[in-house]
Amino acid sequence: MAAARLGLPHLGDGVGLRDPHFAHLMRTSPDDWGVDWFEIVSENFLGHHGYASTVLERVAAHRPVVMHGVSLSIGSAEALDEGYLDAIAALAERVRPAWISDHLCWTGIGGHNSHDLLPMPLTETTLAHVVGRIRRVQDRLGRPLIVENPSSYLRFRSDQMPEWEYLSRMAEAADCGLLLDVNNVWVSAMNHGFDPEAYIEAIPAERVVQVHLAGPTDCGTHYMDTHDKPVRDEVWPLYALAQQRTGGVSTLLEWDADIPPWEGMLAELAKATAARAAPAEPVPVCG
Amino acid sequence: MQRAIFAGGAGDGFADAMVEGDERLDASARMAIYARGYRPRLLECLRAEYPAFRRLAGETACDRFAADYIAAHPPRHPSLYDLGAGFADHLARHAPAEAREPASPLAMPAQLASLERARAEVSRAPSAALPRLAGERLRIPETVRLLRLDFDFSDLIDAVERGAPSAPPAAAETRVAVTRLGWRVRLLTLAEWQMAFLEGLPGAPDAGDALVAAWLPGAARLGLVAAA
Repeated sequence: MAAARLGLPHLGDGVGLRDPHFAHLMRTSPDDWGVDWFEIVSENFLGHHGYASTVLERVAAHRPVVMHGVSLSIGSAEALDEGYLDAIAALAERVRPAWISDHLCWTGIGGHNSHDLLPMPLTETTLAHVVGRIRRVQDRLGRPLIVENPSSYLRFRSDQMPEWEYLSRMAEAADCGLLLDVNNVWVSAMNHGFDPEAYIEAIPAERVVQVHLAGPTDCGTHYMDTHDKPVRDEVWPLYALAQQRTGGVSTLLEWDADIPPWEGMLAELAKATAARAAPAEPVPVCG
Repeated sequence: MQRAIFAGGAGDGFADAMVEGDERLDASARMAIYARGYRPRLLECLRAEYPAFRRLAGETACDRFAADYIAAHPPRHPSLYDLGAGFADHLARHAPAEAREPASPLAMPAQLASLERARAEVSRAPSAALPRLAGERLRIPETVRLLRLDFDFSDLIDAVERGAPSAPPAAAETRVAVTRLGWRVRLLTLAEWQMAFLEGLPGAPDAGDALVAAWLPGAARLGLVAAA
Protein backbone atom coordinates (compact mmCIF):
# COMPACT_ATOMS: atom_id res chain seq x y z
CA MET A 1 0.00 0.00 0.00
CA ALA A 2 1.34 3.44 -0.89
CA ALA A 3 2.24 5.91 1.84
CA ALA A 4 -0.38 8.55 2.59
CA ARG A 5 -0.35 11.26 -0.10
CA LEU A 6 2.36 9.22 -1.83
CA GLY A 7 4.65 10.64 0.84
CA LEU A 8 4.10 14.14 -0.52
CA PRO A 9 3.56 17.03 1.90
CA HIS A 10 0.28 18.38 3.22
CA LEU A 11 0.54 21.97 2.08
CA GLY A 12 -2.56 23.33 3.77
CA ASP A 13 -5.01 25.68 2.04
CA GLY A 14 -4.12 27.37 -1.23
CA VAL A 15 -5.43 29.28 -4.23
CA GLY A 16 -4.61 29.52 -7.90
CA LEU A 17 -2.09 32.19 -8.89
CA ARG A 18 -4.12 34.50 -11.17
CA ASP A 19 -3.57 37.87 -12.89
CA PRO A 20 -6.12 39.90 -10.87
CA HIS A 21 -4.16 39.18 -7.68
CA PHE A 22 -0.64 39.88 -8.97
CA ALA A 23 -0.52 43.48 -7.79
CA HIS A 24 -1.74 42.53 -4.33
CA LEU A 25 0.86 39.78 -3.97
CA MET A 26 3.66 42.07 -5.13
CA ARG A 27 2.83 44.94 -2.79
CA THR A 28 1.79 42.90 0.27
CA SER A 29 4.13 41.19 2.70
CA PRO A 30 4.05 37.40 2.30
CA ASP A 31 3.28 37.25 6.01
CA ASP A 32 -0.07 38.84 5.21
CA TRP A 33 -1.08 36.77 2.17
CA GLY A 34 -3.31 34.47 4.21
CA VAL A 35 -2.76 31.32 2.14
CA ASP A 36 -0.38 28.42 2.58
CA TRP A 37 0.45 27.65 -1.07
CA PHE A 38 -0.29 28.40 -4.70
CA GLU A 39 -1.16 26.42 -7.80
CA ILE A 40 -0.21 27.67 -11.24
CA VAL A 41 -1.61 26.66 -14.61
CA SER A 42 1.69 25.46 -16.04
CA GLU A 43 0.93 26.53 -19.62
CA ASN A 44 0.45 30.16 -18.56
CA PHE A 45 4.11 30.34 -17.57
CA LEU A 46 5.80 28.37 -20.34
CA GLY A 47 8.21 30.69 -22.13
CA HIS A 48 7.03 33.64 -20.05
CA HIS A 49 9.75 36.03 -18.91
CA GLY A 50 7.64 39.06 -18.13
CA TYR A 51 5.76 40.37 -15.13
CA ALA A 52 3.87 37.13 -14.45
CA SER A 53 7.18 35.31 -14.22
CA THR A 54 8.44 37.84 -11.69
CA VAL A 55 5.30 37.38 -9.61
CA LEU A 56 5.77 33.62 -9.74
CA GLU A 57 9.38 33.96 -8.59
CA ARG A 58 8.30 36.04 -5.62
CA VAL A 59 5.49 33.66 -4.72
CA ALA A 60 7.72 30.61 -5.07
CA ALA A 61 10.32 32.21 -2.82
CA HIS A 62 7.78 32.44 -0.01
CA ARG A 63 5.28 29.60 -0.50
CA PRO A 64 5.15 26.13 -1.98
CA VAL A 65 3.93 26.06 -5.57
CA VAL A 66 2.25 23.26 -7.50
CA MET A 67 2.21 23.02 -11.30
CA HIS A 68 -1.22 22.09 -12.71
CA GLY A 69 -1.26 21.43 -16.44
CA VAL A 70 -4.07 21.29 -18.97
CA SER A 71 -2.31 20.13 -22.14
CA LEU A 72 -0.67 16.79 -21.24
CA SER A 73 -3.51 14.95 -23.02
CA ILE A 74 -2.66 11.74 -21.20
CA GLY A 75 -5.57 9.94 -22.84
CA SER A 76 -4.77 10.86 -26.43
CA ALA A 77 -4.28 8.23 -29.10
CA GLU A 78 -1.34 10.27 -30.41
CA ALA A 79 2.24 10.20 -29.14
CA LEU A 80 3.16 12.17 -26.05
CA ASP A 81 4.35 15.66 -26.93
CA GLU A 82 8.02 15.43 -25.99
CA GLY A 83 8.54 19.14 -26.60
CA TYR A 84 5.77 19.93 -24.15
CA LEU A 85 7.26 17.56 -21.58
CA ASP A 86 10.63 19.25 -21.99
CA ALA A 87 8.99 22.63 -21.40
CA ILE A 88 7.20 21.34 -18.30
CA ALA A 89 10.47 19.89 -17.00
CA ALA A 90 12.24 23.20 -17.62
CA LEU A 91 9.54 25.12 -15.78
CA ALA A 92 9.77 22.66 -12.90
CA GLU A 93 13.51 23.38 -12.68
CA ARG A 94 12.68 27.06 -12.16
CA VAL A 95 9.67 26.65 -9.90
CA ARG A 96 10.64 23.53 -7.91
CA PRO A 97 6.97 22.52 -7.50
CA ALA A 98 5.79 20.29 -4.70
CA TRP A 99 4.16 18.17 -7.43
CA ILE A 100 2.97 18.29 -11.02
CA SER A 101 -0.59 17.45 -12.00
CA ASP A 102 -2.85 17.24 -15.03
CA HIS A 103 -6.18 15.67 -15.98
CA LEU A 104 -7.54 12.31 -17.05
CA CYS A 105 -8.56 13.42 -20.53
CA TRP A 106 -7.38 14.10 -24.04
CA THR A 107 -7.21 17.61 -25.45
CA GLY A 108 -6.92 17.28 -29.21
CA ILE A 109 -5.92 15.23 -32.21
CA GLY A 110 -4.16 15.66 -35.51
CA GLY A 111 -1.72 18.03 -33.86
CA HIS A 112 -4.54 20.35 -32.82
CA ASN A 113 -5.18 21.36 -29.23
CA SER A 114 -8.73 22.23 -28.25
CA HIS A 115 -7.58 23.59 -24.91
CA ASP A 116 -10.49 21.67 -23.42
CA LEU A 117 -10.59 18.50 -21.36
CA LEU A 118 -12.24 15.94 -23.63
CA PRO A 119 -13.78 12.70 -22.34
CA MET A 120 -12.20 9.28 -22.12
CA PRO A 121 -13.97 5.98 -22.80
CA LEU A 122 -13.42 4.02 -19.60
CA THR A 123 -12.34 0.68 -21.00
CA GLU A 124 -9.64 -1.89 -20.25
CA THR A 125 -7.87 -0.84 -23.43
CA THR A 126 -7.75 2.86 -22.60
CA LEU A 127 -6.78 2.04 -19.03
CA ALA A 128 -3.72 0.13 -20.17
CA HIS A 129 -2.93 2.90 -22.64
CA VAL A 130 -3.19 5.64 -20.00
CA VAL A 131 -1.17 3.69 -17.44
CA GLY A 132 1.66 3.25 -19.93
CA ARG A 133 1.68 6.94 -20.77
CA ILE A 134 1.61 8.01 -17.12
CA ARG A 135 4.63 5.81 -16.44
CA ARG A 136 6.53 7.41 -19.34
CA VAL A 137 5.63 10.90 -18.14
CA GLN A 138 6.76 10.05 -14.62
CA ASP A 139 10.03 8.67 -15.94
CA ARG A 140 10.58 11.83 -18.00
CA LEU A 141 9.73 14.21 -15.16
CA GLY A 142 11.46 12.15 -12.50
CA ARG A 143 8.51 12.34 -10.13
CA PRO A 144 4.97 10.98 -9.67
CA LEU A 145 2.24 12.52 -11.80
CA ILE A 146 -0.89 13.61 -9.96
CA VAL A 147 -3.99 13.00 -12.09
CA GLU A 148 -7.26 14.87 -11.67
CA ASN A 149 -10.76 13.51 -12.25
CA PRO A 150 -12.43 15.71 -14.89
CA SER A 151 -16.03 16.87 -14.92
CA SER A 152 -18.09 14.72 -17.24
CA TYR A 153 -20.99 15.52 -19.57
CA LEU A 154 -21.25 12.24 -21.45
CA ARG A 155 -20.66 8.54 -20.98
CA PHE A 156 -19.60 6.20 -23.72
CA ARG A 157 -21.56 3.08 -24.55
CA SER A 158 -18.22 1.30 -24.55
CA ASP A 159 -17.48 2.14 -20.91
CA GLN A 160 -16.60 -1.02 -19.02
CA MET A 161 -16.31 0.44 -15.53
CA PRO A 162 -17.31 3.51 -13.52
CA GLU A 163 -14.89 6.40 -13.35
CA TRP A 164 -13.98 5.80 -9.71
CA GLU A 165 -12.90 2.25 -10.52
CA TYR A 166 -10.96 3.47 -13.53
CA LEU A 167 -9.10 6.10 -11.51
CA SER A 168 -8.39 3.67 -8.69
CA ARG A 169 -6.95 1.01 -10.99
CA MET A 170 -5.05 3.63 -12.97
CA ALA A 171 -3.43 5.04 -9.83
CA GLU A 172 -2.38 1.62 -8.56
CA ALA A 173 -1.06 0.33 -11.88
CA ALA A 174 0.80 3.54 -12.75
CA ASP A 175 1.83 4.22 -9.14
CA CYS A 176 0.67 7.80 -9.55
CA GLY A 177 -1.24 10.19 -7.32
CA LEU A 178 -4.76 11.56 -7.51
CA LEU A 179 -6.03 15.11 -7.45
CA LEU A 180 -9.58 14.66 -6.21
CA ASP A 181 -11.74 17.47 -7.54
CA VAL A 182 -14.82 17.21 -5.37
CA ASN A 183 -16.66 19.82 -7.45
CA ASN A 184 -16.08 17.66 -10.53
CA VAL A 185 -17.32 14.62 -8.63
CA TRP A 186 -20.53 16.47 -7.78
CA VAL A 187 -20.96 17.90 -11.32
CA SER A 188 -20.49 14.49 -12.88
CA ALA A 189 -22.82 12.90 -10.32
CA MET A 190 -25.53 15.42 -11.17
CA ASN A 191 -24.99 14.95 -14.90
CA HIS A 192 -25.04 11.15 -14.81
CA GLY A 193 -27.09 10.21 -11.78
CA PHE A 194 -24.62 8.46 -9.50
CA ASP A 195 -23.89 8.83 -5.80
CA PRO A 196 -21.01 11.29 -5.28
CA GLU A 197 -20.32 9.91 -1.81
CA ALA A 198 -19.89 6.42 -3.24
CA TYR A 199 -17.36 7.85 -5.72
CA ILE A 200 -15.28 9.40 -2.94
CA GLU A 201 -15.57 6.29 -0.79
CA ALA A 202 -14.23 4.19 -3.66
CA ILE A 203 -11.11 6.23 -4.37
CA PRO A 204 -7.88 4.90 -2.77
CA ALA A 205 -7.47 7.47 -0.04
CA GLU A 206 -3.72 7.02 0.32
CA ARG A 207 -3.19 8.08 -3.30
CA VAL A 208 -5.08 11.37 -2.96
CA VAL A 209 -2.50 14.15 -2.78
CA GLN A 210 -4.71 17.18 -3.22
CA VAL A 211 -8.35 18.26 -3.34
CA HIS A 212 -9.78 20.89 -5.69
CA LEU A 213 -12.76 23.07 -4.81
CA ALA A 214 -14.58 25.20 -7.37
CA GLY A 215 -18.01 26.57 -8.33
CA PRO A 216 -19.95 25.25 -11.36
CA THR A 217 -22.74 26.71 -13.48
CA ASP A 218 -26.27 25.35 -13.60
CA CYS A 219 -27.16 25.11 -17.29
CA GLY A 220 -30.64 23.69 -16.69
CA THR A 221 -30.13 20.32 -18.28
CA HIS A 222 -26.66 19.85 -16.80
CA TYR A 223 -23.98 21.46 -14.68
CA MET A 224 -20.78 22.86 -16.21
CA ASP A 225 -17.42 23.04 -14.48
CA THR A 226 -16.86 26.77 -15.02
CA HIS A 227 -14.73 27.76 -12.00
CA ASP A 228 -16.49 31.11 -11.83
CA LYS A 229 -18.68 30.92 -8.72
CA PRO A 230 -18.49 30.07 -5.06
CA VAL A 231 -18.40 26.42 -4.10
CA ARG A 232 -21.89 24.99 -3.96
CA ASP A 233 -23.33 24.10 -0.57
CA GLU A 234 -23.76 20.49 -1.68
CA VAL A 235 -20.05 20.12 -2.29
CA TRP A 236 -18.82 20.97 1.19
CA PRO A 237 -19.91 17.67 2.77
CA LEU A 238 -18.12 15.85 -0.07
CA TYR A 239 -15.02 17.86 0.71
CA ALA A 240 -15.32 17.01 4.38
CA LEU A 241 -15.70 13.33 3.50
CA ALA A 242 -12.60 13.44 1.30
CA GLN A 243 -10.57 15.08 4.05
CA GLN A 244 -11.86 12.59 6.59
CA ARG A 245 -11.03 9.56 4.41
CA THR A 246 -7.56 10.80 3.51
CA GLY A 247 -6.61 12.01 6.97
CA GLY A 248 -6.15 15.47 5.51
CA VAL A 249 -4.64 16.61 2.20
CA SER A 250 -3.83 19.93 0.53
CA THR A 251 -6.85 22.02 -0.46
CA LEU A 252 -6.88 24.28 -3.51
CA LEU A 253 -9.63 26.76 -4.34
CA GLU A 254 -9.93 27.11 -8.12
CA TRP A 255 -11.45 30.30 -9.50
CA ASP A 256 -10.67 31.14 -13.12
CA ALA A 257 -13.33 33.61 -14.29
CA ASP A 258 -15.21 36.46 -12.59
CA ILE A 259 -12.43 36.20 -10.05
CA PRO A 260 -13.19 38.01 -6.78
CA PRO A 261 -10.71 40.32 -5.06
CA TRP A 262 -8.13 38.71 -2.81
CA GLU A 263 -10.22 39.11 0.31
CA GLY A 264 -13.10 37.35 -1.43
CA MET A 265 -10.86 34.40 -2.22
CA LEU A 266 -9.77 34.18 1.40
CA ALA A 267 -13.38 34.29 2.57
CA GLU A 268 -14.27 31.37 0.29
CA LEU A 269 -11.18 29.44 1.37
CA ALA A 270 -12.14 29.95 5.00
CA LYS A 271 -15.23 27.86 4.33
CA ALA A 272 -12.89 24.90 3.78
CA THR A 273 -11.58 25.28 7.30
CA ALA A 274 -15.14 25.37 8.60
CA ALA A 275 -16.12 22.34 6.53
CA ARG A 276 -13.28 20.28 7.95
CA ALA A 277 -14.34 21.18 11.46
CA ALA A 278 -18.06 20.51 10.94
CA PRO A 279 -19.59 17.08 11.62
CA ALA A 280 -20.13 15.04 8.45
CA GLU A 281 -23.65 15.19 6.99
CA PRO A 282 -25.15 12.78 4.48
CA VAL A 283 -24.95 14.05 0.92
CA PRO A 284 -28.25 13.88 -1.03
CA VAL A 285 -28.02 11.40 -3.85
CA CYS A 286 -29.02 12.94 -7.15
CA GLY A 287 -31.24 11.45 -9.84
CA MET B 1 -13.53 8.18 -32.36
CA GLN B 2 -11.41 11.01 -30.98
CA ARG B 3 -11.40 12.77 -34.37
CA ALA B 4 -15.16 12.59 -34.55
CA ILE B 5 -15.64 13.97 -31.07
CA PHE B 6 -13.17 16.77 -31.76
CA ALA B 7 -15.15 17.69 -34.84
CA GLY B 8 -18.42 17.53 -32.92
CA GLY B 9 -19.72 14.36 -34.52
CA ALA B 10 -19.51 12.42 -37.78
CA GLY B 11 -22.92 12.29 -39.30
CA ASP B 12 -26.31 10.97 -38.36
CA GLY B 13 -26.35 8.27 -35.77
CA PHE B 14 -22.73 8.65 -34.73
CA ALA B 15 -23.52 10.20 -31.37
CA ASP B 16 -26.20 7.63 -30.61
CA ALA B 17 -23.83 4.81 -31.51
CA MET B 18 -21.03 6.11 -29.27
CA VAL B 19 -22.65 7.96 -26.39
CA GLU B 20 -25.43 7.33 -23.91
CA GLY B 21 -28.30 9.79 -23.80
CA ASP B 22 -31.22 10.23 -21.46
CA GLU B 23 -34.41 12.21 -21.00
CA ARG B 24 -32.48 15.38 -20.10
CA LEU B 25 -29.92 15.32 -22.87
CA ASP B 26 -29.74 12.96 -25.82
CA ALA B 27 -26.42 11.68 -27.10
CA SER B 28 -25.98 14.45 -29.67
CA ALA B 29 -26.65 17.14 -27.08
CA ARG B 30 -24.10 15.64 -24.70
CA MET B 31 -21.46 15.51 -27.41
CA ALA B 32 -22.33 19.07 -28.41
CA ILE B 33 -21.46 20.29 -24.90
CA TYR B 34 -17.83 19.52 -25.67
CA ALA B 35 -17.98 20.62 -29.31
CA ARG B 36 -19.51 23.98 -28.34
CA GLY B 37 -17.39 24.45 -25.26
CA TYR B 38 -13.90 24.93 -26.52
CA ARG B 39 -14.48 27.41 -29.34
CA PRO B 40 -15.93 30.16 -27.10
CA ARG B 41 -12.91 29.79 -24.83
CA LEU B 42 -10.55 30.33 -27.76
CA LEU B 43 -12.63 33.30 -28.88
CA GLU B 44 -12.36 34.83 -25.42
CA CYS B 45 -8.57 34.55 -25.58
CA LEU B 46 -8.46 36.49 -28.83
CA ARG B 47 -10.80 39.14 -27.46
CA ALA B 48 -8.45 39.60 -24.51
CA GLU B 49 -5.33 39.87 -26.68
CA TYR B 50 -6.85 42.28 -29.23
CA PRO B 51 -8.98 44.81 -27.29
CA ALA B 52 -8.13 47.75 -29.55
CA PHE B 53 -8.96 45.72 -32.65
CA ARG B 54 -12.24 44.80 -30.98
CA ARG B 55 -12.95 48.49 -30.36
CA LEU B 56 -12.06 49.41 -33.95
CA ALA B 57 -13.95 46.61 -35.69
CA GLY B 58 -16.85 46.36 -33.27
CA GLU B 59 -17.68 43.29 -31.20
CA THR B 60 -19.68 41.44 -33.84
CA ALA B 61 -17.15 41.88 -36.62
CA CYS B 62 -14.27 41.13 -34.25
CA ASP B 63 -15.87 37.86 -33.21
CA ARG B 64 -16.53 36.93 -36.82
CA PHE B 65 -12.92 37.61 -37.82
CA ALA B 66 -11.69 35.69 -34.77
CA ALA B 67 -13.97 32.73 -35.44
CA ASP B 68 -12.79 32.60 -39.06
CA TYR B 69 -9.20 32.68 -37.86
CA ILE B 70 -9.73 29.90 -35.33
CA ALA B 71 -11.45 27.75 -37.96
CA ALA B 72 -8.60 28.34 -40.41
CA HIS B 73 -5.84 27.98 -37.83
CA PRO B 74 -6.94 25.68 -35.01
CA PRO B 75 -4.48 25.90 -32.13
CA ARG B 76 -1.54 23.53 -32.09
CA HIS B 77 0.36 24.69 -29.07
CA PRO B 78 0.00 23.75 -25.40
CA SER B 79 -0.20 27.42 -24.44
CA LEU B 80 -3.06 29.69 -25.43
CA TYR B 81 -0.52 32.49 -25.81
CA ASP B 82 0.37 31.05 -29.20
CA LEU B 83 -3.24 31.11 -30.41
CA GLY B 84 -3.14 34.71 -31.64
CA ALA B 85 0.29 34.66 -33.26
CA GLY B 86 -1.02 34.52 -36.82
CA PHE B 87 -4.12 36.69 -36.44
CA ALA B 88 -2.65 39.83 -38.02
CA ASP B 89 -1.30 37.85 -41.00
CA HIS B 90 -4.69 36.18 -41.39
CA LEU B 91 -6.43 39.56 -41.50
CA ALA B 92 -3.92 40.86 -44.03
CA ARG B 93 -4.27 37.79 -46.28
CA HIS B 94 -8.05 38.02 -46.32
CA ALA B 95 -8.30 41.80 -46.73
CA PRO B 96 -9.68 43.11 -50.05
CA ALA B 97 -7.12 43.92 -52.76
CA GLU B 98 -7.72 47.63 -52.14
CA ALA B 99 -6.11 47.21 -48.70
CA ARG B 100 -2.71 47.12 -50.41
CA GLU B 101 -3.13 50.70 -51.65
CA PRO B 102 -1.12 53.27 -49.65
CA ALA B 103 -2.85 54.28 -46.42
CA SER B 104 -5.99 52.36 -47.36
CA PRO B 105 -8.36 52.22 -44.36
CA LEU B 106 -8.90 48.57 -45.28
CA ALA B 107 -5.33 47.90 -44.09
CA MET B 108 -6.10 49.27 -40.64
CA PRO B 109 -7.37 46.06 -38.98
CA ALA B 110 -4.34 43.96 -39.87
CA GLN B 111 -1.88 46.69 -38.92
CA LEU B 112 -3.59 47.30 -35.59
CA ALA B 113 -3.60 43.57 -34.87
CA SER B 114 0.13 43.39 -35.62
CA LEU B 115 0.73 46.19 -33.13
CA GLU B 116 -1.31 44.49 -30.42
CA ARG B 117 0.45 41.19 -31.02
CA ALA B 118 3.79 42.96 -30.74
CA ARG B 119 2.75 44.31 -27.34
CA ALA B 120 1.84 40.80 -26.19
CA GLU B 121 5.16 39.37 -27.36
CA VAL B 122 7.19 42.15 -25.79
CA SER B 123 5.39 41.77 -22.46
CA ARG B 124 6.60 38.18 -22.15
CA ALA B 125 10.06 38.38 -23.65
CA PRO B 126 13.24 37.98 -21.59
CA SER B 127 14.86 41.28 -20.79
CA ALA B 128 18.45 42.10 -21.68
CA ALA B 129 21.11 43.90 -19.70
CA LEU B 130 21.82 47.53 -20.57
CA PRO B 131 24.72 47.76 -23.01
CA ARG B 132 27.95 49.57 -22.21
CA LEU B 133 27.75 51.19 -25.67
CA ALA B 134 31.39 52.24 -26.05
CA GLY B 135 32.51 50.34 -29.14
CA GLU B 136 29.98 47.55 -28.54
CA ARG B 137 28.16 45.67 -31.24
CA LEU B 138 24.49 46.19 -30.62
CA ARG B 139 21.30 44.25 -31.34
CA ILE B 140 17.57 44.63 -30.93
CA PRO B 141 16.62 42.91 -27.68
CA GLU B 142 13.72 40.46 -27.57
CA THR B 143 11.73 43.07 -25.66
CA VAL B 144 11.56 45.29 -28.76
CA ARG B 145 9.45 45.04 -31.92
CA LEU B 146 9.74 47.51 -34.79
CA LEU B 147 6.72 48.26 -36.97
CA ARG B 148 6.16 50.57 -39.93
CA LEU B 149 2.48 51.48 -40.00
CA ASP B 150 0.24 53.64 -42.14
CA PHE B 151 -1.80 54.84 -39.18
CA ASP B 152 -1.21 56.34 -35.76
CA PHE B 153 -2.85 53.94 -33.33
CA SER B 154 -1.40 55.46 -30.15
CA ASP B 155 -4.52 57.40 -29.13
CA LEU B 156 -6.74 54.39 -29.75
CA ILE B 157 -4.50 52.08 -27.69
CA ASP B 158 -4.39 54.63 -24.87
CA ALA B 159 -8.17 55.15 -24.91
CA VAL B 160 -8.89 51.44 -24.79
CA GLU B 161 -6.52 51.02 -21.83
CA ARG B 162 -8.27 53.83 -19.98
CA GLY B 163 -11.75 52.66 -20.97
CA ALA B 164 -12.31 56.03 -22.64
CA PRO B 165 -14.03 56.84 -25.95
CA SER B 166 -11.82 56.95 -29.03
CA ALA B 167 -11.79 58.43 -32.51
CA PRO B 168 -10.76 56.48 -35.62
CA PRO B 169 -6.97 56.39 -36.00
CA ALA B 170 -5.49 59.05 -38.26
CA ALA B 171 -3.74 58.08 -41.45
CA ALA B 172 -0.06 58.87 -40.84
CA GLU B 173 3.16 57.13 -41.74
CA THR B 174 4.23 55.96 -38.30
CA ARG B 175 7.40 54.23 -37.20
CA VAL B 176 6.81 52.47 -33.89
CA ALA B 177 9.11 50.72 -31.47
CA VAL B 178 7.19 48.55 -29.03
CA THR B 179 9.50 48.20 -26.05
CA ARG B 180 9.37 47.08 -22.45
CA LEU B 181 11.12 48.87 -19.66
CA GLY B 182 10.80 47.04 -16.39
CA TRP B 183 7.31 45.65 -16.70
CA ARG B 184 5.82 48.54 -18.63
CA VAL B 185 5.23 48.12 -22.36
CA ARG B 186 5.55 51.39 -24.26
CA LEU B 187 4.92 52.53 -27.81
CA LEU B 188 7.65 54.88 -29.00
CA THR B 189 7.36 56.87 -32.23
CA LEU B 190 10.70 56.98 -34.05
CA ALA B 191 12.22 59.26 -36.62
CA GLU B 192 13.17 57.63 -39.91
CA TRP B 193 16.92 57.75 -39.10
CA GLN B 194 16.29 56.09 -35.72
CA MET B 195 14.18 53.37 -37.31
CA ALA B 196 16.77 52.84 -40.03
CA PHE B 197 19.52 52.50 -37.43
CA LEU B 198 17.60 49.94 -35.40
CA GLU B 199 16.55 48.00 -38.48
CA GLY B 200 20.21 47.82 -39.47
CA LEU B 201 21.22 45.99 -36.30
CA PRO B 202 22.98 43.84 -35.26
CA GLY B 203 26.13 45.79 -35.77
CA ALA B 204 28.38 48.46 -34.35
CA PRO B 205 27.28 52.10 -34.58
CA ASP B 206 29.21 54.27 -37.04
CA ALA B 207 31.70 56.09 -34.83
CA GLY B 208 31.39 59.12 -37.11
CA ASP B 209 27.61 59.44 -36.81
CA ALA B 210 27.20 62.13 -34.18
CA LEU B 211 23.39 62.04 -34.32
CA VAL B 212 23.25 58.34 -33.48
CA ALA B 213 26.00 58.70 -30.89
CA ALA B 214 24.04 61.40 -29.09
CA TRP B 215 20.84 59.35 -29.23
CA LEU B 216 22.16 55.95 -28.21
CA PRO B 217 22.43 56.45 -24.42
CA GLY B 218 18.79 57.46 -24.29
CA ALA B 219 17.83 54.64 -26.61
CA ALA B 220 19.62 52.21 -24.34
CA ARG B 221 17.80 53.54 -21.29
CA LEU B 222 14.52 53.00 -23.16
CA GLY B 223 15.50 49.39 -23.77
CA LEU B 224 15.80 49.78 -27.54
CA VAL B 225 19.29 48.27 -27.84
CA ALA B 226 21.25 45.52 -26.16
CA ALA B 227 24.75 44.13 -26.47
CA ALA B 228 25.04 41.72 -29.39
